Amino acid sequence: MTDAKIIAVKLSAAHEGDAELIVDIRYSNGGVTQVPLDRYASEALMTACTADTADDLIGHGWEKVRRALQVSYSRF
Amino acid sequence: MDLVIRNGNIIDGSGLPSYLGDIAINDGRIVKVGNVADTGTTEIDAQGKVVSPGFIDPHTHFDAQLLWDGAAKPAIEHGVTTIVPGNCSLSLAPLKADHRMKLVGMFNQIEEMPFKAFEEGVVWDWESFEEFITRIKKDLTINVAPLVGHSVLRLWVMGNESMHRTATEQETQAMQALLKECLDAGAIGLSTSFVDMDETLQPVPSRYADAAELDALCAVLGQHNRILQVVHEFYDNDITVARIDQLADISRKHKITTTLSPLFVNNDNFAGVDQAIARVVEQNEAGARVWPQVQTRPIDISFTFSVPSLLFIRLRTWYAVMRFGTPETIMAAFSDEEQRKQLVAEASNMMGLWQRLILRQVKTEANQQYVGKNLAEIAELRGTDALNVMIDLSLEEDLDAHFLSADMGHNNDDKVGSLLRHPHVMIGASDGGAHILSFSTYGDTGYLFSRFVRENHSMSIEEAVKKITSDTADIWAIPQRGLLKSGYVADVTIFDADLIDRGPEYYVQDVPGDGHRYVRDSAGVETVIIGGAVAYTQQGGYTDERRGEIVGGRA
Ligand SMILES: [Zn+2]
Repeated sequence: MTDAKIIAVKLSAAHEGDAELIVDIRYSNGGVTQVPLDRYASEALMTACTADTADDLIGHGWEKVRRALQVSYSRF
Repeated sequence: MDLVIRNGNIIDGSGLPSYLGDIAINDGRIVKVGNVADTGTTEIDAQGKVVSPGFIDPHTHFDAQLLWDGAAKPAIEHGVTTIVPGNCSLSLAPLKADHRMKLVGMFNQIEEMPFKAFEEGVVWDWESFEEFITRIKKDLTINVAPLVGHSVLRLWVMGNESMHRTATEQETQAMQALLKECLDAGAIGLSTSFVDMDETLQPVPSRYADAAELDALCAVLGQHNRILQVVHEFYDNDITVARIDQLADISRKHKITTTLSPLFVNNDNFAGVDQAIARVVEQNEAGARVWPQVQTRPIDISFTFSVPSLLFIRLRTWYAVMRFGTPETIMAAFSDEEQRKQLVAEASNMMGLWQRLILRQVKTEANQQYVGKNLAEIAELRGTDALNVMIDLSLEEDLDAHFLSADMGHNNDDKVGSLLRHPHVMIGASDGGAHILSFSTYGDTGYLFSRFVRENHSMSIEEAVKKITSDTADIWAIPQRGLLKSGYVADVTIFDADLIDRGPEYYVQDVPGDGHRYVRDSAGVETVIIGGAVAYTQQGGYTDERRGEIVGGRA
C-alpha cells in the first residue's frame, strides 16, 4: 500500500455548496478509492506536489494526500 | 361539520390510486373520506386538485426559527405540515444557561444562523427539554416532532469536557437519565453526528462518544421505542457501509429504528451508492431497521472571487491568481489588460459553464437588475460574453458578486429517481432551516413532483405522496398522521398536480438581527390544513390559526 498513487482528479460538489476535489488513489493491489478534499486540503496538496493545476497531482503518492487532509482536519 | 373539502382527487397516502371524493373534518380530525352529504361551516372546492395528507419533512434545523416563527416559513407554503428539527446531534434543549453561547456557536457553524439572530430573536427562558417544548408550543402553526441532540446531552452532563474525551460510566448514566427525561417530555428520538464540527472547526461533542456510550443511549431509545438519527461519513463509501452495519447491529439489539443522512449520488461512482443500498437491504432483511435518507434536490455550487473556489483548480492562471492573491491583487489582475486577456483565453473553452452561472447577489444598486439572471442573459444585455461579464461584475462589486453553478452534483435524474422510489430509502435530508446563507433548503417536496413525477416519470404521483407522508410517519412512529383516513389528524395539502414545484431561489432579509437567508416560494400548493384548520392558502397567505402540535412523543 506504500506505493498507492493518485491516478485521476475531478471536481465535485460538496454537501454545503462548495466545490471539492476528488482524487482517485490506486493501491498496489489494484483497488481504487476516491478521496474528497475541501479547499484547504486541496491547496495543501497542490503546494506539497508543487502543482499549478489539479492535473499536475496525478502520479503523486498517497502520503501527501494524507498530510493534506490533516491540514483541513475535518470538513464538517 | 367544521370543514368539507369537495370533489378532490384524493391521494390518501397509502399508495392506492387517486379517486374522486370529499373529505369531512371536525374537531381537528378527519371524520369521513368519500361522499360527504353534510355541509361544512367552511367548504373548499378542490375540483381538479389533488388532496393529500400533509407532507412530513424528517430532516430539518428549524430549531432556532421556531422561537420567532411558529410556522417555520416557508415550509408550510410547500405543503409541509410536520417537521423534525433537532437533527445532526444539535437541539436547543436541554441546555444550561452557561452553555448557551457555546451552542449558538455550533448553530452558527452548521446552520449559518447569525449570532445576532440569537441576540435579537431569542429570549432564553428555558433549560430543560420540557421547558423548551412548552416555550415553542405557545405559538405553533406547524407540527413539530423534535429530536434531542446527542451533543447537547453531552454538553449538559460533561460541560467543556464533552469536547475532549469519552464519558465515564457515571456520565453515561447521567446522559441516559437526561435522555429519558427528554423522551418523556416529547422528544421523538435522539440525533447524533460523526461528521459535524463547531465554529472553531473542532468536532462537535457527539464525535467524542465511544461505541459504549451510544449503545447505552440507544438502550434508552429501545425502552421508549424511539428513533436514532445519524449523520454518517457520507463522502466515504466504505465508512458509510460500516456505519450501516453499526446501525443495523444497534437496531437489532435495541429493537429501534435508525436513519442515516444524507446519502448522495456521486456521478462518477454509481457503484458506491449501489453498494450502500445493497447493504441496507441485506441488513433490513436480517431484521434491522436502517433507513438512508436521500434528498430530491441537486447540489449547487456557489462562489465569489473573494474566497478561492476549487471550481478554478484546473485553470492554471486563474487558480494562481486566486490562490496566492489578496482581494486587491485579484482586482488588479482582472483590471490589467494583459492578465485579463490571458485569463479569458484560458477559460474560454469552458464558456458553457460560465454562461449557465446565475448571478445570485450583488451589493450595488446598479447591478440589482441582473440578480437571478444567468450570465448568458446578462452578457446579451451588455453586449459582451459570459466570461467577461463574470469579470466585469466582480470588478464592479469589489469581488462581492455571488455566482451560482446549479446542478453540479446529485443530479443524475434517473439514478436519483430510482433511489428516491427505492423501498428501503426515505425521502428526506432537506436540511430545512440550515445553510441559510448558502442556499435554499425549502421546496424539495415540490421538486419531487415536478422533476421526478412529471418530467422524469421516476414514480407515480401516488408513490411520491406515500413516500413523503405515510412512509415517513411509519418510519418515525408518528401516530395518526400521514394518511387521509377517518380518525386521523386533519393535516391536508391541496395542490395542483400539473403545477406543484419549487420556485426560484432568492435572498431575503427576514431573520432577526437584520439577518438574510435564501428561500424559495412554492408553486401549485393551494391550501394547507393543519390540525383541521386552514393554515395557508395560495391566495391569502398565512392565516392566524395555530393548531401545530408536538407530535411523536408524549407532549
Ligand atoms: Zn442536518
